[in-house]
Amino acid sequence: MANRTPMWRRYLRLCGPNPRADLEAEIAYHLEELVAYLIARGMTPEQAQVEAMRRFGSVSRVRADCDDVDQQSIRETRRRDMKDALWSDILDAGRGLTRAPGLTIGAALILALGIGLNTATYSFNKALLFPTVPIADVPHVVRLWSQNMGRGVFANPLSEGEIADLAASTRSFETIAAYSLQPMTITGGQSAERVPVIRATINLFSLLQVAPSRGRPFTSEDATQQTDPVAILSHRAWQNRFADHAEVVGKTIRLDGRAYTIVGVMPERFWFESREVDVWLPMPYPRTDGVRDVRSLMAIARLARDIPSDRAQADVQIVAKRLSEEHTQSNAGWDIMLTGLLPFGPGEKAFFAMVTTLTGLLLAAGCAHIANLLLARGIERRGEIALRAALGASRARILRQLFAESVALSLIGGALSLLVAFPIILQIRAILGPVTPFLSELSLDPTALLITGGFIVISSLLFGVAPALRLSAITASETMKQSTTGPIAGRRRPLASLLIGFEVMVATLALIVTLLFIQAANNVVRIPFGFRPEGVLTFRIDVPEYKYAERDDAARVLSRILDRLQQVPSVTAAGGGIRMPLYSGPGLPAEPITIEDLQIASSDKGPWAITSVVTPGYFDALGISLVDGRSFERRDDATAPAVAVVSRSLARAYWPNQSPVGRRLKLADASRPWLTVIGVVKDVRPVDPTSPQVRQLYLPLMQGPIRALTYFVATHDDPGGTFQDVRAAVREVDADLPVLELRTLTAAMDDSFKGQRFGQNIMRVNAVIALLLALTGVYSVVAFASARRRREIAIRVALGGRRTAIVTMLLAQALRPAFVGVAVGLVLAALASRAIAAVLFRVDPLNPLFYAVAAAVLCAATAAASCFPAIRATRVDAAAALRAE
Amino acid sequence: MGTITDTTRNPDMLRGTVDLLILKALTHGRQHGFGIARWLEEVTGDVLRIEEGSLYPSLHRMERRGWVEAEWGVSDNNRQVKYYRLTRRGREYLQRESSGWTEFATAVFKVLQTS
Repeated sequence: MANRTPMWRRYLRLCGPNPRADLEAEIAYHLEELVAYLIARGMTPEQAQVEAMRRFGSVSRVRADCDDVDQQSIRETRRRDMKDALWSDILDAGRGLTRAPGLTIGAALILALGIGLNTATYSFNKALLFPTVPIADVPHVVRLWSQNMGRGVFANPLSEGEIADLAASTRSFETIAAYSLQPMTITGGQSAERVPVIRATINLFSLLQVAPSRGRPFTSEDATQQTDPVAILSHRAWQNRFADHAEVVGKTIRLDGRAYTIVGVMPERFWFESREVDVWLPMPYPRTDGVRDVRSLMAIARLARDIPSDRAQADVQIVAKRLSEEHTQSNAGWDIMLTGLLPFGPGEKAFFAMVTTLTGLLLAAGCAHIANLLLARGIERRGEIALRAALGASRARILRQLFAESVALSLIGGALSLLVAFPIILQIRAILGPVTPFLSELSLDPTALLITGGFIVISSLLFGVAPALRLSAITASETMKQSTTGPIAGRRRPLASLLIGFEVMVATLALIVTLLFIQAANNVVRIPFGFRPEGVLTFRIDVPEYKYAERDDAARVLSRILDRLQQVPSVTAAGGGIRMPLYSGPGLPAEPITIEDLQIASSDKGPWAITSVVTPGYFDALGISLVDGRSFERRDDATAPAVAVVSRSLARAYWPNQSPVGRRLKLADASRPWLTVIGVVKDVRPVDPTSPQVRQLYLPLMQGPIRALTYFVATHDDPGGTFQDVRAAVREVDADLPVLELRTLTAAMDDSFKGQRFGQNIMRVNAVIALLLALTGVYSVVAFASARRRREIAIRVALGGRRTAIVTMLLAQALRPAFVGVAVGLVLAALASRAIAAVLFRVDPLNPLFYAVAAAVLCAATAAASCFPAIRATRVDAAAALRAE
Repeated sequence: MGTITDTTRNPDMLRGTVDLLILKALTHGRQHGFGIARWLEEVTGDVLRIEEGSLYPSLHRMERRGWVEAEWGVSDNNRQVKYYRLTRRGREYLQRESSGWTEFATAVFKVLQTS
């Protein structure tokens, strides 16, 4: 037990509490006083000692109890102190940021754009590479396509024979499943409706590793027996059509008038190919003796264990080669390709890669820019930091404040970046969602945000705190003696030069790639359509089977609507076709055809054509000019001789240097008669001009009856005024037929090019940001250098130095790295543009014009951006500048 | 009421009671632990005998809760000692709790009076 009064405790309290020592002092005092008190009451010192200990109780327990309480208090105090310190850091950071609002706003915007664009592109790429489809193990599922390079047919479905042979003779696949998607009219349940139906081989579900959530999957008997057809419903169809949600297994639905027994319902989250698919039907597995010259089956396969897709591709090509030898009639020139589940070609992939790289570089340039600003600022604030250090702020405290500033900046930028990323993602979803189901649920990827955000935060921390670390190593007095315009400032900053060079390089690259891409996109749009969309209205009529069971009846309804339209006064011509004139993409049938007395020798490139069914008036309505013979007339109906109109490209390919009028050709379907060519029309270009699908073959509607027709109505005046007339005309024929997708053809064409325009816009935004970054970067470096050298400039001016010489001196510092950046950017652009040559339609990726323009723009712009602050610097009042020191 | 010497029996109730007594002791001005023990002894006589050491955990706990404040000062016999002082919050707590105690005691008293 201590005897002495702890005088020193009072002083140590300044340095923080020491509760244990305090407690010992308290207990000692109490016991000593108690002993003295008891002695005063007449006890002997020995008795008093014993009695005091008894009255006090266990010292060790008191010590332990107090200790518990005290430790808790210390923890609480520490937490409170930390909270206070954090709060004051945040306040300091806020003050620091508002003191330089320009820098803060600029940096926050750069961060927002950088993080936002990158998050969007990363989310998009992730959705493409790792699609969130309810299918197990997507990377091992591949699509199989047929293609015929000679005919310009890519991503085409397969024939029965091909699938059967692939299944029989390759070992690269665990299973191959075939299916086809077709619309059928569903009745029963609540309403009649056309719905997409997938007819699939029974192994499709096991390949996708899904099973019905109710009922059973298809069995092999389901696929082969004819008497009692069965169907599996989607979860959605079950919920929508059977409102009572009762057990549906065992009930029947009617499809195209036929009753199907429902044997199962798919799980709620499952979908394949399209969310719209409501019904699944079984299909017998293709046989090697099946049809070979009709390619209409889609096929997917699951790769066998440990087989990489390129091995499978090689395997498949061996089969394709053998088939082209064994079945020359149907397979010569045809190849079989493997792709991932996603329908993107190498061109699109190169473009995505380009955009991703550019946005990534942009982010890096943004980081460089912010780093540059923060570095400059750190040096500028040397005085402030030294002052704070002199006033007793600890080094840790100062670092913490700078750290807090960087964090605050990053948080603002991160929050704003959501405003950038979300609209882009919504755009992508709106444009690509309908054609790519994988993207219909594209959303902002939180990991993407974290990764890009983290990247930029770390870099801003590094560059924000780095100067502080360096500066805080300098002693306060030393730093304060040197003014910010002193000799230290005259030193070159190699890091700043590097950063400028990088920014300018990215800008050069982005500018060139954007120019090339925009030029290519313009080339695509500028190719003549081959028809005149102005003043034309278009809409679609889908004749339901439950109303008009016979195909001929349906065709007659479609024909009557056409007649009625032609009587509308403002209408100059009206016609119909089975699809939009610019349609291209998967599912476009490139059919093999037979030409009577074919003059040209082409052994492996048999004749082929894209067939289209049109009505009389189609060519007139669309302004597709007739170059030879006549076009379809009303007399070309089912009873008349079979006729056809061909496009100029087809005519030139198979009847070179002669008129095809009067010659005959035959479709692959052997049951159809020879067709006599009655006329030749100009080519209609496809959307994707790189596909040579201009060998078009037109058949008259009444000779190839169909159920749906897209109408084209040419009008005298503003087509907008004819909308009501069109609806009225259809209503007169059948009031129940809905008019689908009624719009002007120009609007429809715009939709066709929506994807291209979106791509262009993304590139433009990238280029503009990169340019802005480069310019502000160069500007800030020159402005900063000028400000630091004010004193020197003032002296030179005072001594009669020539302003131009001073300006040149200032410019050299910024422009030297900028010009190096331009040079490097030009080289990189040359390499990059070659990589994306596939999407650069009719643009020479090395066209010197673009490179010259980009180089000139960047050199001029950086020179201008640096001249402005440099000239301003020489306008100083020498006396004032020197007095300010 | 018997003599309370074992602070481990029903500690919560007892702790609350000791807290109140200490706060009451401090209403007369700042005091150190030894002084509080002497006041309690004087006021309650032999009826309520508390282990004097148990005052300290109570004091420390109440300091943490902000009911009392501690400061180092000089005692009558000129020694450094830690004094405790009642805070505003401590005074409010004392008022609230002591009226509760009085009501409780009155109620118990009434019950015991009825035969």
